[in-house]
Amino acid sequence: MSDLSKRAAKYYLVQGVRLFIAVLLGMTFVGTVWILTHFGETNYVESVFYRIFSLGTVFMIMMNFMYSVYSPGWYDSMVLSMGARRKDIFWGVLIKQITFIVCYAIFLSLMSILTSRPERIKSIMMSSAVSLFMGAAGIIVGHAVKKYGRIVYHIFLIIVLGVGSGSLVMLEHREHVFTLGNATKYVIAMAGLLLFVIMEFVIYRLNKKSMVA
Amino acid sequence: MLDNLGEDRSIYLQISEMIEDEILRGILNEEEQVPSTTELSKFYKINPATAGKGINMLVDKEVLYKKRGIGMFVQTGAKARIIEERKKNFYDTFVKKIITEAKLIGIDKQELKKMIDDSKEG
Amino acid sequence: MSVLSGKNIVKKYGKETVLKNVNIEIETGKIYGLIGRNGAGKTTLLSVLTAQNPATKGEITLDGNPVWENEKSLSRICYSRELSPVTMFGPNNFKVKDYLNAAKAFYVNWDGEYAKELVKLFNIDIKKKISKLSKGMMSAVTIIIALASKAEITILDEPVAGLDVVAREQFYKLIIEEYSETGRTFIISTHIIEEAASLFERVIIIDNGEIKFQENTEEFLARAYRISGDADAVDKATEGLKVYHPESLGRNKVVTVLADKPDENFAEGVQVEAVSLQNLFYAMCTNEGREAM
Repeated sequence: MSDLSKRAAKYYLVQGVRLFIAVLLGMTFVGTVWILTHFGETNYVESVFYRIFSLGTVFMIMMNFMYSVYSPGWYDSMVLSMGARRKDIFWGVLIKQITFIVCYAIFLSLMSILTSRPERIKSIMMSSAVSLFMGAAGIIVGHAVKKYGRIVYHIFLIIVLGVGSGSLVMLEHREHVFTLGNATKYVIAMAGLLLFVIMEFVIYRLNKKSMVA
Repeated sequence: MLDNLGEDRSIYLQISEMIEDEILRGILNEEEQVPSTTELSKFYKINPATAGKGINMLVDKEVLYKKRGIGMFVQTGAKARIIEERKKNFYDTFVKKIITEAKLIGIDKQELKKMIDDSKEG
Repeated sequence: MSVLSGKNIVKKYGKETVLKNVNIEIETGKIYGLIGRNGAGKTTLLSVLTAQNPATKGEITLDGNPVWENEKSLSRICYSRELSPVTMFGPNNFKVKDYLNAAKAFYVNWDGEYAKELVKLFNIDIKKKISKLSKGMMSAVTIIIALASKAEITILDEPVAGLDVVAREQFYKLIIEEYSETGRTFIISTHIIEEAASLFERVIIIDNGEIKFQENTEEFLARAYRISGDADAVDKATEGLKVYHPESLGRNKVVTVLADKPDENFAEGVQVEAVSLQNLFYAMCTNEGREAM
């Protein structure tokens, strides 16, 4: 690996850790507030940790998505203006996302083990996968925002909210929806992976011609 | 940024002339060290290469010489050399201008000579 | 001596052609001035030369090696751009130290000590967010990054915008000092021409996406003159020469001339004066409607 690649990789790794720490601090703050407000209630420790856990899995996805959107037009632009190559940026961003997700996953897993809830680790795995997926989506959105402006970001959020609430409504009426058998889950997972790989290809191509904002 | 350098002549010429002036006025004496190109360029905010050109010109004219590892020094006999050159150019540099201006405003040679004779300077 | 060269560069944004067949050669070990009006294409040219922006057509090489995505070439170049207080997502919440850390990571020859000295000199609080910096401080950060990069070819885009006169003088001194010590190549694009003109060994004038002149500053100015006098006499004396910005007041006419070689002997009856770089550039720009530069 060339010297520049190593330096870029190190830089982005550090950025991933820093993002994790920032989110961790945010969660600690929220957690502390919850502990204080629910102090004395029955099982409050259990419920607070459940809340933190749920928030954690959501944040893992949301934060990675958000910062990925910021990447092409802002963070990566700065790095590009300092002489990094586009391929260093491509791999760097992946390293940043994976570092973030791994740190986060380890933290949540530790928390789950310490609160005697090891079964939650499965959800953590799923969140990690979704987070990585949304990270890639975020970068594509980020490139679109760079080209067409912030409106793209807003449109995307509306779509996601729409799909999200739509899914929630569907889940309410579960009897009208077939339960996901193992095979279906598998298919969805494979589709997700395929889509992810396709997105990375798209990102690579978008990145290739990128310019400093 | 040039403080007292003008835009009328090449900067390097102005630099060399200024150093020559200092030698004539005794501000710089023979065998004394001259400011380095770096110091000159910082002082007048000019490109060091330009300052260097001015210095080199003076080396060619045998006004300055280089002591390796130390810097530029005024050569012995530099003052005399400068005076000789300037005397040669005095007519073109100054006298011609005076005559042109005198002609423009109608001062004849007699009046001009009287002015010089009556002058309290020098 | 190395050469950063751009051949037949064309840059289009959509239908707009911002750079039209630009040929440029930058020799290392010199201080260059890049001057041009707003929108002339200075920043685009610099972006393309440093591979921060892909050229639509053309080749950019450093010592014959391409610059685009090339580690060896890129490691020799620093293009320190103007910082922006806003990003497309809102205010720029990066802190100064974030920029400095990134610079440290990516500029091979980064000199942290020198950066610290400069931060102190310009009195910058590195914990401050970019969006909260004054224009002068933003310029200072640009300058700090450029100088501390210790890159062989260092490019500064409008470095003195927003600096007061004291800071500007400081900047010129820093460039001279650094250049004297290391012989690094500097390319400085600026609007504030007159102050910096005597710094430039070579000057590049860009107008409307084309390079009009790239020459040794002194030789260029040696063949520029301001001719004034009786209108007829001036016209006669300047026949066949490139004349810019003719102005008349009564019978008195003043023109700026660019001759083919210096020290032309002009006819009697006209006053001949030298022209500063700024005034020459101004005359060329205000040629209103006449032929281009």
